[in-house]
Amino acid sequence: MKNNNLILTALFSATVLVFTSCENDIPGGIVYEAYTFSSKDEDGGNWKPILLTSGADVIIDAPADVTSAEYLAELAEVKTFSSSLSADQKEIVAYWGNNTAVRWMEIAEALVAKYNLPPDPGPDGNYPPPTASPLTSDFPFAHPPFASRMYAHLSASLYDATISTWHYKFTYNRPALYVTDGSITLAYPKNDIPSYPSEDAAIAMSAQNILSFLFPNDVAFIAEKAKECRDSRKWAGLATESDLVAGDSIGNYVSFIYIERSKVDNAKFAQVDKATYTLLEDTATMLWGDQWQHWLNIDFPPRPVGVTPLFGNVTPWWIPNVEALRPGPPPAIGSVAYLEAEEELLDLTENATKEQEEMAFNWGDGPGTYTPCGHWNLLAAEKIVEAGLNPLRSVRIFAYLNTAMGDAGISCWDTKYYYFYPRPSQANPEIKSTFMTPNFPGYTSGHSTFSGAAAQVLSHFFPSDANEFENFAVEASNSRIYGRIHFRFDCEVGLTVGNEVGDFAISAAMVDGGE
Amino acid sequence: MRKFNFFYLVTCFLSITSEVQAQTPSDAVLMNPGQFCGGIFYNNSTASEYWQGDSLLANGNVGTLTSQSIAAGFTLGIIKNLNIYATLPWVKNSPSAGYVESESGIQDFLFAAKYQFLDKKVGAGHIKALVSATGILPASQYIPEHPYAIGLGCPDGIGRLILAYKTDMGVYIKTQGGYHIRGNSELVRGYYYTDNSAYQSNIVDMPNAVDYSATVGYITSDNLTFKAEAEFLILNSLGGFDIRAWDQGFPSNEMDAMRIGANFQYIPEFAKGLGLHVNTAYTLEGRNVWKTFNIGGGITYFFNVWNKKESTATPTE
Repeated sequence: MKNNNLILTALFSATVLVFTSCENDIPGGIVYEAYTFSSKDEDGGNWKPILLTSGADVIIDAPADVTSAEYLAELAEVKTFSSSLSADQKEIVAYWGNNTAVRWMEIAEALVAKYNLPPDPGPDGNYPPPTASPLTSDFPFAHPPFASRMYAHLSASLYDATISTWHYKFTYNRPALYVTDGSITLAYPKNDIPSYPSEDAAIAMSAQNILSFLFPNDVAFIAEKAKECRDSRKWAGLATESDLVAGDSIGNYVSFIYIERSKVDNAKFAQVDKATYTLLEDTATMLWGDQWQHWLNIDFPPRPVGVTPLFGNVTPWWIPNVEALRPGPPPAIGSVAYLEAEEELLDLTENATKEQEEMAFNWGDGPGTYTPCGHWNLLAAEKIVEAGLNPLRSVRIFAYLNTAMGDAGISCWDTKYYYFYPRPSQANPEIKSTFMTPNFPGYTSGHSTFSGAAAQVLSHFFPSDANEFENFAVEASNSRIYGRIHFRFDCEVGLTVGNEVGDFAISAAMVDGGE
Repeated sequence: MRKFNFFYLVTCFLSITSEVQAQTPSDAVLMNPGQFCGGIFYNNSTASEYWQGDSLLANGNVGTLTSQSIAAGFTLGIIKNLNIYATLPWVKNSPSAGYVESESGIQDFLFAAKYQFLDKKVGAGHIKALVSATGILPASQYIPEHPYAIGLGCPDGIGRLILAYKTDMGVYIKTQGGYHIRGNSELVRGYYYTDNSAYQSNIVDMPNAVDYSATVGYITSDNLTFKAEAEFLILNSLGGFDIRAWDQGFPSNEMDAMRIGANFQYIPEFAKGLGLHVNTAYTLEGRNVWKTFNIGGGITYFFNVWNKKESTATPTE
């Protein structure tokens, strides 16, 4: 019996041993500690916003004097909060940190991941056009072009809003709370930046309005996040109620401008019905029919229309027009250049290495994810906090990165539906891919164009990391070849055009005052 | 009306399948000390429908999914009432339709120990009680987010209790239950969305699981020559989320299955030490798993490594 117990104990312990290695806390966003900003940028209020004419567009009244009874009462409120935080509140304060735009971009990424799934089929069992009524729970279909446009509007609005807060911060110079009252418990490192108006409130309000407009099914969730963000400023000893209220006004004003723009940027015409789609296919046949059969969706059953054929008509941020960036035609099927690219994919179908397959999945960023643009925002966020950038400099990078990727999407989609070039498995069914092919034509690669633009812009802002970004862009681009959903020329041309698109955004950044 | 997902579920619970052998950590059979039984097993599992949540769907982009595995394994009697097991399967998953590549590779290494702590004569038979501990570890760097992934990509530790009653005539009933504690699955990508949240990591927290089964069978009086049994098995994830409409399956989805199966064993007298095995199973109900039908077979060979004085290699049943 003794022996019995011994063996039972050993078996039990062995099982427990395997079990105990399972504890973990998986992060929902980048992990960073609040930090000291590498600059103050006192002149940041004079930088040129993207849609606003200047940071002074919104009229913000002078704040109450720091010795006024009104302000002292606000300070007392903050002191009460910040000196008696619950564990939950401390966690929220730590989560939002002192660069809240990073979290808003992550919230936007999560919303994209949630909605980046095609809508339900129609009653005939076939797929409807990839749009849906705002009344359906799966609205919107946050596919890559939708996402690129959303990230652009969001981040650019945060930049304009933050410029405006900077303008008034250094006009009115209401000191940081801890400067006025040494007994304030500040949850973050001291950054001697005037507190009025709160940039975090302006960012939260603008983000809340824009995200609520674009993701109408998640208004309550977004409002909860905005409230949390705003409350956490008081809990952290960073802002008083009047700082936040002034920030709210700026956020409301700026987001209104951006939402109005988004209503008239032609995006609402980007998705077409079946009849229009057939006309586009016929046009492609007329133009290119002797060189390639136009792209067809080869899923079972096939989806009747591609994703946003007229997205190329959307109003760009920086590029003059899509024609200026539209590359020349891809090689005709059967041409030497084509056969070479086809041979590479046939070879990869049989012989892709583990590393190549992994690269395909690492950069897959397909349905149910934040898309390639989300991936680049994540890489940018890591660099931003690593460099200790203040909120103004952070949103400036997000804004140029995302407006550049927005233009990349517009330019790429124009090219895709101008040429209507087939995907590899359509051109040659012997080519098998690592995952499903996206529902739009192949030439040029969206991943490559987004990544080319992103790497160009980020290399401008982080010149010492230029090699790293360039390598990432090449990886993202090659990953589509390794996944066998693109020919090499789709990717190489996309990357080049992406770089050119990025240069337009950089030209704008060079003269906005923030260099 | 059928919904067609563009993506589909990874083949799951193959690690359970690989336990279906002549003698497993979940049966009530034991080898004597020094007895060694090695074998090769083949399993073929096909499915043309799967459950997305509780809706049974077909997928035109997959057609029929066939999962084949070849596993090598052994059982060894260490001391009286204690056996150890190990298996290593190679798996290939292939669709019959669509343009997505099939996936194959070495799957998960399984190691187990089983101990019988009770064997008591009750009426015209014996009641037996056993426990086993099983460890499962991915044995290669397969990609768990591949549409046709060969496994869940996570370690799994299983504790099991087995109770059996065998009449002297050879008829037996058995019931067993296992609790799976799973480690994390490691994706290639560093970002995913599941369970209403986004995660910036390649680490996926896997839900634990339970399995339990009831078996009725008959074995010839020599405890050896012929065995036939029917089995009813339930697998349940203790957590996890349903596959979303139009999304791909995810390793940490809730995966449940209810299966029936049958196992046969034949050890011919003319070929000493050789054993033939056939097993089959069918999934009746499920959640976020394929509705599989599988059939498998194996050849084992057993001999005494030590204790050669014992004239015949007769497993105590």
